[in-house]
Amino acid sequence: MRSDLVPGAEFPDLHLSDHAGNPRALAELAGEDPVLLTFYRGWWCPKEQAFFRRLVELQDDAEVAYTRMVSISVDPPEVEAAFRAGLGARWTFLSDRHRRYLDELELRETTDPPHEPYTPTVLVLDPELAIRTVYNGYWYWGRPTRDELHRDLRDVTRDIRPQWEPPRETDLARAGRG
Amino acid sequence: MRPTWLALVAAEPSGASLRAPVREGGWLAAWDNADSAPETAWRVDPRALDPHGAETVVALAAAPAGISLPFDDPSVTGAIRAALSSEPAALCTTLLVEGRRYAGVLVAPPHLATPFATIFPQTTLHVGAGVLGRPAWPAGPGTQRYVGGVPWPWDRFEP
Repeated sequence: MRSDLVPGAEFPDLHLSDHAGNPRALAELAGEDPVLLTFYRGWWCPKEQAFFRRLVELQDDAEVAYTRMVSISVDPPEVEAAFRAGLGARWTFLSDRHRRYLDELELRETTDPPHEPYTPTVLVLDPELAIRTVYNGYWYWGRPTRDELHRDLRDVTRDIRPQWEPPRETDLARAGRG
Repeated sequence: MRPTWLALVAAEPSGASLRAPVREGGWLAAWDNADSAPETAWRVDPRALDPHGAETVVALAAAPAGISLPFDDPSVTGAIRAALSSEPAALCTTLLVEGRRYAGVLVAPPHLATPFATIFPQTTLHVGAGVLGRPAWPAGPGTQRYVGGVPWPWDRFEP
């Protein structure tokens, strides 16, 4: 990946079609929530099939934790839609079928010329698309565990939610007087 | 403020911000606030409303008057999960009453309302131009947003 895309840096706002062919922007998908962003090789890769089953388990947490999930590949939207439906995924998949960002992000997997896929990469972003953590998933064990993602998302949420510590009655009373 | 209250009424409403005739009968209209809206109005995702929106066919799966469910009822969250799993809708807003209680859904195209039609009965409406828009489908996989009291799929804490 590009050497400047490290924790603390801002991730580019990508503009791509979603799995249904609608134009989407990453910043719009992020809204005001933490984002789990995954670049994956494609539907055909057994490693992606294994890893995405893990993400499908995580989505049960994310759906109640105000957290967005976005996955990007070079598969066409209709292939992503089929992969997504087969997994039971309920988040947005983005298609870079024209490989618009593959080289800009320096995420081209150079060891797979036939497919020209993205190098498997997982990022946790804050709502402003600032990078919090990066996982290089070229080798499968480089990918994050569910526990690691839980910790990352807890850290982001603690930083961005002003009421991480539940307000006490005295705080509310003070705010009311102010 | 954008109109966020929606109702299906028998006669053309005089004070509504947005209004359009419904082929099946009556008018679909939107108001800026609860005070000017009729008692039967639902709170909707403001992005579902668009004064420049084209005429459209929607499914309305709404509860009978006086009936509603907690938004966390498993039937509601299950329907939202099913909706997020399937083909994205061109339009979708749940309908809230009494602050945060589920009273139905409005979905286009109509066949995509099926997960919600198991909760309350569904009818198809041909709505004229000037009320309903085509907002972006939610990112997923979120099913909740409490603080603003604005119905799913609104995805911010503040309305």
